[in-house]
Amino acid sequence: MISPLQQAGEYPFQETFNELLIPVGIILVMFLVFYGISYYMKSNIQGSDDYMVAGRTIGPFVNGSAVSATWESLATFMGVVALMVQVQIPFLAVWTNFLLSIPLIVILYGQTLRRLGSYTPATFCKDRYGNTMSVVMALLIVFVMLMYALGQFIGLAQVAEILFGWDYTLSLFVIATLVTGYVVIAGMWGVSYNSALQFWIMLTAAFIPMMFVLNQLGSSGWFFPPLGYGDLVPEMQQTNPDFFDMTFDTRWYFAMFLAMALGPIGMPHLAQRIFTSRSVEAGRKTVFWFVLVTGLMFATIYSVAFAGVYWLGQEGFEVAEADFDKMIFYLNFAFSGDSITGYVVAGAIAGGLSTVSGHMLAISAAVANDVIEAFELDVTEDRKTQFGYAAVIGAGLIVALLALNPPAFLVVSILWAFSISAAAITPVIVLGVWSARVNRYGAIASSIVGFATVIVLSPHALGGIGAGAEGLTADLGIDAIMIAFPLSLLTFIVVSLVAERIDSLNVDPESNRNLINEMHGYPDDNVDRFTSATPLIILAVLMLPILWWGIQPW
Amino acid sequence: MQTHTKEALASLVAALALIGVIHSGIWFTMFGTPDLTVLGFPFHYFWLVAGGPVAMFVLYWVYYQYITTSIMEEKEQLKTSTSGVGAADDIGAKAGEDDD
Repeated sequence: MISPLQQAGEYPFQETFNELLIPVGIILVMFLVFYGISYYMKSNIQGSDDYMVAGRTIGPFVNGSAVSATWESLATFMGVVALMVQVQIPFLAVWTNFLLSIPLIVILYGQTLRRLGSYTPATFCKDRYGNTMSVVMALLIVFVMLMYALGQFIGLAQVAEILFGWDYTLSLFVIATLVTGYVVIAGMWGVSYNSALQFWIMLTAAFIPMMFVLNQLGSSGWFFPPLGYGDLVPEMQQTNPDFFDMTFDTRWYFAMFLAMALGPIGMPHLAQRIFTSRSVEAGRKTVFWFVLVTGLMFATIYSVAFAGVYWLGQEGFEVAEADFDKMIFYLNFAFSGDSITGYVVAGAIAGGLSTVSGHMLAISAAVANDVIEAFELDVTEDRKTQFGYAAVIGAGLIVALLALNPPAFLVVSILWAFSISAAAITPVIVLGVWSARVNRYGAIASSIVGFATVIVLSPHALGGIGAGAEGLTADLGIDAIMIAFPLSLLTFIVVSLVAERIDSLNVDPESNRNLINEMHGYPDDNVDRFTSATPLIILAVLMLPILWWGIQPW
Repeated sequence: MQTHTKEALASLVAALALIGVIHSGIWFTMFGTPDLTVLGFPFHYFWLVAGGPVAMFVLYWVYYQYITTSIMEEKEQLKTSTSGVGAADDIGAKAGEDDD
């Protein structure tokens, strides 16, 4: 029997902690360990290079785990489960597309920019396109990172609400203070080692409690949650016959690819992790660890979403939309009690900390390094590091203020950030690495067109102007990418090639020769490489049907 | 074929192959999935949860083990032939430190 319920506080199952002592103890110990590692690592910080990319000394295993934690974020515990419970299987496509991003970063530009010794994609833009594009890129990075961090702050505040029963606003500002203080203490060095630890806390906090949950749900493969619940599928198909349906049409999945696979490629907090590698070789090896540990984590989280839907169906419970984010906690309260749920909450906090610290360091690097360098300000190394600290504190405050009025799902602002990144950042970086024919005129035009298109078509900014999609697709702001991405690439290519033909603009593809050779690891032998316009023209032609497809009503 | 052309094509093919294996779980379903279960799961679900990531791991290993290595060797030969240019891979890293 279904018992429709509209809001938290009225459900016939446990929603918050009855006993706080053990959960709070677990979380306090975890914070002490993070602060301890940060404090210990602080002695290694002697300049901005140490603060922002850990002196480029991190090995593949630590980095693979740290990348995974940064990449997964709090959304893995809360937003993903929520959307899987609501959207069901199609959301798997979202997350598997996301999984592509790290290998693609390494293949498409991570190793080349690591050779240049870049802090962020904006550092690369300064070398490749000049100061103006560097400032545009730094501003885009700050915007995208703020949007992404917004989702994390909302989620962390919701965790504090569940844990302490505090008001949302109080929870938000306590969390903002804790997170900002944590990032200020040790920069990327402490954050890298902490993120690796945070990943393993996240994995165990999802994996081990799910063993108990699946066991009690009657799964014979409970000891391996990622793939052990197959024998529950027939019952799931009876209670939720459409759970395994893909539901949406081809275009929805293609839009997801553009936003979720190509968007994160432009995300500086992910690329920055590759730049912390001790060598290009170590950066490449990072991908192996990343795919291995992230695959394990994701498959475990799918089992959480499956069990959540299965449990709701079995018990006849309904949960209000806004509370789907808390499903993993409800499930653990119901099957495992307060102590184990305390560890699950610790895992969620670890996920939020790892990602938001990456965002804040990316903002810090954009402000304290890229903007200062772009304007060629004469600033000492100490002062630069101080600017970095100030940028982190400022970012914490801004995000906390933005999070006062949150969207219904915490994933919404994150998906929006992905769309902007895919349209305004990714093309500029990837084509800048692989073609000597693109230039600053194309790059600036492309970033502005990509950014403006997403903003105009997004339901979260102006509203009222859509790209033709309705319902969830439009609500998530994903439909805009079907127009913004091809438009951005077309602008980039056309403007770059036209600018070459205008003498007064002084565009000379050969001026990039040494930079292109250096970033790809070729000798400085005065040979022009990656200078053909044909691949650019083919790419531009391929964008036309995508643009046409995106413009059609969904 | 010149080394940089080979490098660009290899990177493009590797990227497309990775995208292809992940998306095959989606396309199989869109265009008619065979009525097949693996470990009790419908095939497309299994592929998205486990098959895709494992296939991605294997593909990346092939790219890393064979393609990257052979192209790096060609680059080293180019450097040797032009002589006197240091390895760009070592920027910011200490030589000989490659493990955790």
